[in-house]
Formats: sequence, structure tokens, C-alpha cells
Amino acid sequence: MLEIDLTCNRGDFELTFAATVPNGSILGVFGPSGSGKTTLIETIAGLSEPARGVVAVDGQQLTGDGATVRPIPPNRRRIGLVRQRAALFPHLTIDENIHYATTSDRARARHLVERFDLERLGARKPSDLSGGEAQRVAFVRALASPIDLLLLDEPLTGLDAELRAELATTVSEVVKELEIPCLIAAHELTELERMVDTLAILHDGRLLQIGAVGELYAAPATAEVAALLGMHFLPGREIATGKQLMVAVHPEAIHFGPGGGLELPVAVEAVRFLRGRFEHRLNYGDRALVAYAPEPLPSGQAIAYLASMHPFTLGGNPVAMTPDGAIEILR
Amino acid sequence: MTAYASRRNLPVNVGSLFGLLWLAVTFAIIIGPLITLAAKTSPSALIAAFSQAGAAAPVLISLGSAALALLAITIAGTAIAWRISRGKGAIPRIAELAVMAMLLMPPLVIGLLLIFMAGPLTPIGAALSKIHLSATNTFFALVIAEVYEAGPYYVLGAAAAFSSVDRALEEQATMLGDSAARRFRRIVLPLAGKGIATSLAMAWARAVGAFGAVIIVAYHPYGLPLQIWVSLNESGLPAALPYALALILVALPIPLIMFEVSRRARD
Repeated sequence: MLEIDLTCNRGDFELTFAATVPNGSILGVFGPSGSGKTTLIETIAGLSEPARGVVAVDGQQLTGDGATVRPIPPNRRRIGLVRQRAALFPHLTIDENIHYATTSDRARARHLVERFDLERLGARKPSDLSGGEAQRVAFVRALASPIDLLLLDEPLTGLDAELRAELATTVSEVVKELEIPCLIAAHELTELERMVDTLAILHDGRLLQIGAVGELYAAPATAEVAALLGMHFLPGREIATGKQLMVAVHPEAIHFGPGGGLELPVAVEAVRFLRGRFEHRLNYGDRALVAYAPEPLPSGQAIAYLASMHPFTLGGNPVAMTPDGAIEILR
Repeated sequence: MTAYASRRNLPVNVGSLFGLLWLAVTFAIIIGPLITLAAKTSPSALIAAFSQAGAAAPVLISLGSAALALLAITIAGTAIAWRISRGKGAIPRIAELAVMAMLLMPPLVIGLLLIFMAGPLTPIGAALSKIHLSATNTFFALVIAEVYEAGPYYVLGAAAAFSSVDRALEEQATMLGDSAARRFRRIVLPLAGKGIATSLAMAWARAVGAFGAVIIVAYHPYGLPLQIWVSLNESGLPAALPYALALILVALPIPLIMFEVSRRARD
């Protein structure tokens, strides 16, 4: 189990983060560039020191306390790290790369080579490999010794969609098999949704919300979270009080019937086929929305339905969900 | 018929013929002095020169002093190069500037500065004489002068080689359990080896051929460069030529071995 509760400083930038990751579970850390993901990973790995706080794996504290307890150096932390660049050792063969760690385990490595589909590459040099193959070797190399924690820093960025999906599945299966905690950071939700059990939203060094992926979509804690999850914002009003609101709507929650929800008269601007369904670009007043449907709609006026929505005050705080009809969307 | 077609009809490609000629001229210019030297040095003159009593001494002195200088340069220079490449803050930058200044300084000036720093009338000179060493006109002084003349070539070359190693590789080696010393041996040295070998080769050639600083701080004992100078002054050109040939023979093998090592590392 990984326990994190720390504050890091890098110049003017401050990061605070707290989370617990059980064995065999994957925590996704999602946030835009500059939100502190890499600082977090490097601090857990021991490559940089936190200002204060604790990182512990299986109850053993890795960080120092700035006084009597010295931090455990990164080379003795038993942590596997895979970054966006595979960083294979160019002067060694693939086999030598995989067994670079003196603690690497033959049987374990053989099993991983099979899981990551890397048979018959052993004698080659990294320069002979494709980007996808190199990244798979990086995973095997990080996992080939008995480690206590796997850290992933945008490990799938830059790979093609198919390989990304395949690798995401393999990595989450292997993490469960090996019963180690895993933390993955990425700035694209698609890289995370497929593999994480818990998602943490990081923005500007602050942990905005942490929870199961479904929970986050069902109840974004702030308008900032809703925006980072890719929701649209529409101006709204609480009918009973007349109070102005912002209403967040996820593209997946917009549909064209049948079925209920708040009605929204929109104009269909453009339609294109995208991954098995049709992406519709809509205009509502001067706001652009995106919605998906199994069949294309003709251009022009249409009625869209909002299956779910999340009202926020203009300051960005959530408003207790009122029964349908109690909120109206303004133009 | 176009010019292009007529050119193609020539039995030999004119372009490559010109290239070959250019290569031959360049080669001749580069090795011209070597050929002249070999041609001017008759075997009998060589035998005569080296059969005199003590004639081999300059060769041995040059070999010995350059070997010691290279040892000192490798030990101290590698550490300095590493700090220049990886150190943060002002000290590594100042060190880099200092080494650069040493590289650019005329060797004669280096010699003068060494006298001012460690000559017999200075505190360092006094301290050295207490342990029966002197930084002027001794074998020890010769080694020091060679270190100052040749060291910067190694330090700057090795620093550049260290800097060329991708830091992400060192980070991975660390995460995979390597201590700093271990990853230096397993990652940095193999990847920077080529650049280090070339820098060592340059430093050796500079050390063996060191003259400017040497003539000021270590006129005695004669190494090959000084012997050439003295022979030239006392007996003229023909007397100096055998030593010049010897100097080339002493200076070349290590660079050639190093270049071969780096060529193999590249493949």
C-alpha cells in the first residue's frame, strides 16, 4: 500500500497532495501541464525531496523528517518508474536492459516478456525497436525485479491509440497480478480512464478532488473539476429563487431522445463519424457544444436533452441538485 | 546531346575523379611533412644519433613524464570534468572558465605563471624544497608543465562527453538500484567512453609535445621537444631531425589506439 501526504516546493510553485493506493490498485493523477504531476512522481521516487510530509510504502516510511530520519535514497526504494520516453540503455541489448537491475528475477522477467509480447527481441539493440516496442521493454525492465510500487509518468503519451488501449489493459492486469500499488500521471483523460481505479484531479499544485472515476463524473466537486473533466458550461437560473447559476454538462450526457432530461433547442452545425458513432457540433446561442449519437442528425434546428447536469454558483461552488425543472437554462 | 548526357558517356565519372584528386592533394598536404621528415632522415643518421651515449634519454624522459602527466590528468581531470558537466551553481562554471583560460593561454605564458606560482622563491617552492622537490628544472617540474599544457584538452573533452550522456538513462539506472558509482561505471563510462578516449589521445599528444611551458620551468632534464630545440641551436637542422622522428613515433601510438577504441565503440 502506498500512502502519500506531502507538500513540495519548487521555486514559487507549491504542490500539496494526499492519497492512499491499496496493493493491486491504480491511482490516476490527472491534470494539465504544470499542475505538479511530475513533481509528485519525482518526490515519491526520491529524485527530489518534499518540503514536508510523508511517503510510505507497505508501512515503511521513504521520506526523511529533515532531522534524525534520513530519506531512503531512490536506488534503494524498490520503485519502478516508466516515463514518456522509454530511456532504454542504448549500449545494451534488450535482454541486458530487462535484466539491468541486479535484483531482476529470471522467471518474473520471462513471464513479463510474454505478457508484453516481446519474445524474440532479446538480442536486439534499442535502436532497432519501434517506439511501441521500446516502451513495452521499459515496462518489463521496471517490473522485472520485485518492486513495491510502480510509478508511471505519461507512459502511453505518443503511442498510437490501438497500442495504448492494449498496453493500458496489460499494465492494469499485471499490477493486479503482482499486487503492487501503481500511480499513473497523465494530462489526457483517455490515457487514464481505461486503467485507473481511482482518479485524482490536480490543478496548479492543488488536489481538487479524488474518487472513483464514476463518482467524479456524477458529482464534480467544483466547476474547475467539471471543466477539467471536459464538461460544457451553460448559463442557468434557479427558477424558485431567480439566482444565476452555471450549469455543467458532459458531452456524454447530451442526447437527442428518446428519453428524458431538460430540453435544449440547438442548431446542428456539423456532423462527423468518430469511433463508431457520430460527433455533432452544436450551437446553443453563442455557445458551442459537442454531443454524440448513433445516427447522424441533419443540419439545422434540433432538440437536445440533458440527461444530467451539475449546477454551480457563479463562484464555482456546487449547488445541491434540485428536481428537474427547478433549473432553467438561459440563452 | 546535353552536357549531362555527354558527361555520363565518359568512361570515368568526372565528379568522383575530381573528388579523388582533391582527396589526394589534401592527404599529401597533411602527411607531406611526415614524408619529408622520413626522406630527410637517413637510417645511418638515425643510428648515429641514437648510438651516442645518453641519446635515448630524451625519449625515455618524454615517455615517462608524459605517462605520469597523463595519469595525473586522468585522475584529477575526470573528477573536474564530471563537476563541470553535472555540478550546479557558480563553482563548476568558474572551474570551466579557468580550464578554458588554461587552454587558450599561450604555453609560454603558462610557464611564466608557473614560475611565479611555484618557483624557488615562492612559498609553494619553499614548501616543495622542504620535501626535496622543486617545481623548476627537475623531472617533477617537467611533469607539472605537461599537466598544465595538456590537462585542459582532456578536461574540456571529457566534460563534453559526460554532458552528452542522456540524464534520463542515469535516472533509470538509479531507479533500477544503481548507486552513483555503479551507474557511472555501467552507464556513463560506456556512453561517454568514445569522447573520453579521444580527449585522452589529445592530452597525450599535447603532453609529449609540450614545449612552451617546459622550456621555461623545466629546461632540464631534456625531453624530446627540448632536445630538438637544443640540437637545432647547437648543431643545426640535420641533428634535430632524428629526434623529431622519435617524437612523432612516441606521440602517435596512443592517439591511434584511442581512435581505434572509439571507432569500435561507435560500431
